[in-house]
Amino acid sequence: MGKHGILRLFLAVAFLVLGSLGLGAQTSEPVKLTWYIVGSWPQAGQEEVFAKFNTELIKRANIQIEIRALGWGDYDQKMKVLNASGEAYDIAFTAPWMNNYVQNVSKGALLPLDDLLKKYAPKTYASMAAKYWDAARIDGKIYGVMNQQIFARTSAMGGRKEFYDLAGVKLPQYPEFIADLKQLEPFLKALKAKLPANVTPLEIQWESLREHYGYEQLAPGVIVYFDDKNAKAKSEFDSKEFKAYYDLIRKWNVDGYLHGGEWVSVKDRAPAFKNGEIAFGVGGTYKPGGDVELEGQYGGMKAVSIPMSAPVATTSGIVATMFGIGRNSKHPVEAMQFLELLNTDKELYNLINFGIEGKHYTKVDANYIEGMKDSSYSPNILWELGTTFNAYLQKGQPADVWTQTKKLNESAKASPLVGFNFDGEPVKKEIAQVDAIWQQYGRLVNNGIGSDKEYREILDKVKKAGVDKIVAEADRQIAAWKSSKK
Amino acid sequence: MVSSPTARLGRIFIHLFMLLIVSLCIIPLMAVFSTSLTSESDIAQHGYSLIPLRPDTTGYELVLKNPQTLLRAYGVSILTTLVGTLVGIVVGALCAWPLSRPDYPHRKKLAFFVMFTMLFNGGLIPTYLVTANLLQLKDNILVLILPYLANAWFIFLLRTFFQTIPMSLVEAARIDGADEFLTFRKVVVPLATPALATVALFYSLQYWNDWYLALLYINTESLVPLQYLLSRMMSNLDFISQNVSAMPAGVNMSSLPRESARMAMCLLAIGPMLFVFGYFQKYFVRGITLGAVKG
Repeated sequence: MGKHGILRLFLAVAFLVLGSLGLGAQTSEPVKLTWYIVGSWPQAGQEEVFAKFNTELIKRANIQIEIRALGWGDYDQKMKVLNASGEAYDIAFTAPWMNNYVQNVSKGALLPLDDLLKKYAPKTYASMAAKYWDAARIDGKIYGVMNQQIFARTSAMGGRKEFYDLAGVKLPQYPEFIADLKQLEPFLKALKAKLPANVTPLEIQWESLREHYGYEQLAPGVIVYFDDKNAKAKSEFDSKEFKAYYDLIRKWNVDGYLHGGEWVSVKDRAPAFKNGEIAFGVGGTYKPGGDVELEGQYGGMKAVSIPMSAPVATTSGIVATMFGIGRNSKHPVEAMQFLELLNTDKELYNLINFGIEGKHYTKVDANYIEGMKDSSYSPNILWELGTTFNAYLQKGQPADVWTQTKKLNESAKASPLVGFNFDGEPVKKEIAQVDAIWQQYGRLVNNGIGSDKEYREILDKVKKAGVDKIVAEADRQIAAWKSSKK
Repeated sequence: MVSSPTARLGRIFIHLFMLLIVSLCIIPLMAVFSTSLTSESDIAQHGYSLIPLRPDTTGYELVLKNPQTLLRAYGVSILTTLVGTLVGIVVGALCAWPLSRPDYPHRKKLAFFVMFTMLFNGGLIPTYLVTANLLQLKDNILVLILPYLANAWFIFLLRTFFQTIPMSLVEAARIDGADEFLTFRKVVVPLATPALATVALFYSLQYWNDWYLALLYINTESLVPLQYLLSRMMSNLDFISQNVSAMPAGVNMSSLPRESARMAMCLLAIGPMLFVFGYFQKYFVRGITLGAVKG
């Protein structure tokens, strides 16, 4: 026992005495919270990181948190059971695509947060414009705290820079964008001519082109155009855009720009991108510094990212990642205080997202870090665990990436439906059927191997599956939402 | 042995039929085995094949790189399977034996009670509430064992078999001075070994293959059984590849295990069961012939 040991002993005795006198506020038991998150869990080194996170948290706010980190495939199912059984958890990830936000609110699984936010998380509340908070409102109340990130959605394509340079055809750069897919043809032609024969020029997905075609999807098969001031729901497949896409992709397949039939059965294309067997892929969203993030997908090669639409702000983009507080939480105040810390304390945010310095990453300078190779902790979900604007920069990212991102968010055109959250529950059956039809035909369409017969089949089947019912339900909900806003 | 042409034709037909059934069982296993030994680029280029073109062990290396998780999951699975099967067979047999005894007065009521659980159950949420809140079994190894111990279907299977044991044997034992327990242990159990072995196999399969209980009740990594580890791996990849357009920007798929690793994991998970099955098989055969000889 050295000098410190004696000091510690002295402190412990002092606290004991003070505590018994009722003076030592610090010795009170920390408040225990439970926090459900989703991601590529478990990570090998998570115990250690979570333990350190807790030590730091107790120092700052006398809060202890039990992190229940679940995998992508389990989270939704588990949260359904927890919510239905009224389990007393404190904080959980919720979004339109995972642990469905609207349904959680309509079933009363989440607490309204308006007062808590203003009182216990004033900085977080002030950090986002009122229009963004409006996106999270349901019947006038906020039930989720958004994790700030890129709110705007911009269709994009990406690929290896060496292939882009090889083609030698310039494509528009942000803020310019590819307004019409046909603009890509000279580029694809050059790629096809110059690439080795075993490399396919393009992989494309109809699902990733919503902003490009200027609409927002409310449910499978049902869309609303951004420039439609009346915000009338329409059928997704019975549109001139889908027909144009269908025919163009068929032509591209004939021209040899796509993989075609050969690859229809291969579900997982990631290795092909990594090995350089596919040169360019349409998907994801354009964002500042996005080409650095893409490098991982392209086996560490330099990558480029090209916008294919103007940035658009939609409800689903804004509320894409939120934390809600459980209805039966015993400590809603502390839960909100925790969320405020997560969104304002850089050190905490970076600890939970990147792990421990020297073990899971190394610092290059004050702001830049580099991940360790084969790190035992790299959940890679910056967008989930707090505001990304607090994140360390990764090698290659521009120093002002977060300023640029904020700017992009502000420049985004707002969809007429910002603040509207579609509840698919009443037409669940129809939605599942339309979705199943797309699962069946989607790859055929995206690989350009369907004929006119399949095109008619899709339209026909979607109609029979009751797409009109979903459209009618969407219109009804939109009308109700509009009248509630007045 | 001389056989008529029709009989020979019949035999050829039966053999072909059996070959078909056997290949239906073996081909998927071979495909899994072969995929586990194929590199990613070969899968992408040539698709799946029954014989690996160029054997490649990266899948196994990936899975075994971090063996602690796997070994711990093995430990949990083996423990729950062993304890679950042993206790389960005791519970099942002790419940089935009285049910099969014509001299037990309440057997109809009890049989109905057991049968009722086959037709109706509490449903997911009430079951969850009882297990998690009332019994406080979350994150407890017992939660992986207790819920499957009394299986109505297995109990009836055993009861039907016990009913074939002549009552006169039991009476003879009683005359010789054996009490109920001794009769059960020395007379009934030895006679029922084939049935007990069959049900034990069912129990062990049930425990070994279960991941659902872990999904619902387990949050601690050290209590994750093998099948849940596997199903989690599979469902993670499926979820991301299907929902990538709905997810926020920046979800990185490149960190997920690939096809060959998943198949390697698959084989490691079913491996022990293949041996167990082989061991139990001799009881199956004996069970059938026993019945046949006695008529």
